[in-house]
Amino acid sequence: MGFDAGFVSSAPGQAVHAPSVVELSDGRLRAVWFSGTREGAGDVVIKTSVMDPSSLRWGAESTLFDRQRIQRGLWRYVKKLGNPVIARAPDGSLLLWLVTVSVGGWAGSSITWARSTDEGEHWGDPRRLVTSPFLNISTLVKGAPFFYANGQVGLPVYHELASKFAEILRIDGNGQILDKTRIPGSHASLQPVVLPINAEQAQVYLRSAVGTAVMASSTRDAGKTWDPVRATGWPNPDSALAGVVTGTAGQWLALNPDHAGRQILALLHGPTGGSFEGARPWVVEPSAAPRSRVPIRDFEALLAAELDARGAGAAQVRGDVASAVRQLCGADTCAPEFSYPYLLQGRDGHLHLVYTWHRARIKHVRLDPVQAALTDAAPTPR
Amino acid sequence: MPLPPLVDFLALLGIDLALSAGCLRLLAGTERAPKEKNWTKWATALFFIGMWLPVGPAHLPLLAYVRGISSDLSITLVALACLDLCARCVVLPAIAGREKTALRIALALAALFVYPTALGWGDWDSYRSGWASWGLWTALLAVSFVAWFMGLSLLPSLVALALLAWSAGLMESNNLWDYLVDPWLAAAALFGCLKSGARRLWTRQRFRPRTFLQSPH
Repeated sequence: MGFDAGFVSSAPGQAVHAPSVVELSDGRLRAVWFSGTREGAGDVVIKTSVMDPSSLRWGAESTLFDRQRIQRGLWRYVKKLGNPVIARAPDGSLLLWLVTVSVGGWAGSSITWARSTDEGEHWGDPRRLVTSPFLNISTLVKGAPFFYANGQVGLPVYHELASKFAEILRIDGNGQILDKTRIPGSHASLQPVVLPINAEQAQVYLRSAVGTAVMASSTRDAGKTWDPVRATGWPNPDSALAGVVTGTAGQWLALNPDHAGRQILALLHGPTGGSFEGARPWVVEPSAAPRSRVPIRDFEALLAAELDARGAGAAQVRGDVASAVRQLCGADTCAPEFSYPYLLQGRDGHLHLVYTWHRARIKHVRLDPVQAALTDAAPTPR
Repeated sequence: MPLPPLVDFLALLGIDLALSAGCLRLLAGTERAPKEKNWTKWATALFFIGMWLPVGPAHLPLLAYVRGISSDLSITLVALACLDLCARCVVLPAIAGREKTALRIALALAALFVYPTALGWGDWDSYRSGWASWGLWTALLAVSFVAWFMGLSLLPSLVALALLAWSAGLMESNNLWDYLVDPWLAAAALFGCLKSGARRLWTRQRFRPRTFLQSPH
């Protein structure tokens, strides 16, 4: 059993993070992520690239939104951008949500959104979602949206100021918020990932801000009420999750399945509507020593080897290794990182996973979920 | 600089009016501007216009930078700023102290109801009621009627104005709470309530009849 893997982003030396992906009407994939000199810097922009499914090659990256455009569209000062989430609305248009900060750190975030009616080539003016009465700050987005039977959008969001908790926004076709539901007991949980089972039932999995376990809740009344959050058997090192429910191959969860560090990235498979307890992790990014830091020289060699193997030029390798070292290394050692996964199932049935590769590149993995669900063998990259 | 969409224009205008009211109050003092302080009105007018000057790489008006920090102001705050400006610039009767006290108490109670739960105190979120909830409409109607029967007109008028603006969708938010109250107004109302409460307590203590203990002869 194997999977296809390749890099999405291409600009060398950038700090990149938080990718998401959508399938275009012609079957190509469009990924979005944020990129700049460092996370939270004023030069961070929202980048995009498109993949041809026949060659599995990602095209040149381009800028969707920069800070100036967001500021002009919102008619207010914006200090930094992050966490773009792209999805197809029931009316066929593409929707993009991202977080913008005017004052302070990420806890000062608000959600901004825009719509494209030409498959992401051009985007309308960004607009702001008002989700909080307190200066409209501290609502962030990371997880994939889902859609209600009546065409309304469900957007999983989370709050960070004063206390952390998870919420689901219900948004109409014009981008207006209709309601917001807090997931009970989600204090110290964030970045909800919703797995819809049917029109009435869904599960939600959450990142633990205190780094204990993957948290979970469920609804049986189309999200009007949610059960109190409970801990699952899977550890969570305060890192983001991703999930998807496939048509024929059950449901999948992408996570860092360890108590500390983001050095292993794995997929879990379970029956639709069932649990992931006891699932065998399908490791996408393995680590020989998952909880120990790596000496800088070894880290540089590790990254250079993979970049070389995937055909990166010398300048690209130098730039990407320097970017990763700048962000993940201390004086002598580094913490390798595979993080912020995002999952999507294409119309051909393939599962697409995009994630942050050592904060220097965005990586894409494609696999056949039916075969993956049937095999017990450890996966190998092609 | 292109013209902003209506919602953004009104938000910027609201911030400008509130800042200008603050500016005039600062320059002219707490008393109404007398004739010899006419310059304060002109200075405020210049300030009002100057805040629309585009600055920075995005060529945004100065007000847009303030908006990044202040967020959008409630209709109530903007209306109060307009009343204050009008009372100082043209001859308008000042708002009666009784009206101010009632409004301050109502706003402080609203703030205590909305902000703690919206910021995560418990699993119930009072802010939800601002999205087309009969409960909030009924409560507002009841408060307005009670105020009306008590001979107060400011509170019901501001509630009516906020409801009109909300039904016309004049703000970026579609949550009624954002039309009624904002953190700046809430902070001012809470401070005002605490101040007047402390003053009453102090006055009561000061004028309480003193009893002297006398030692038996």
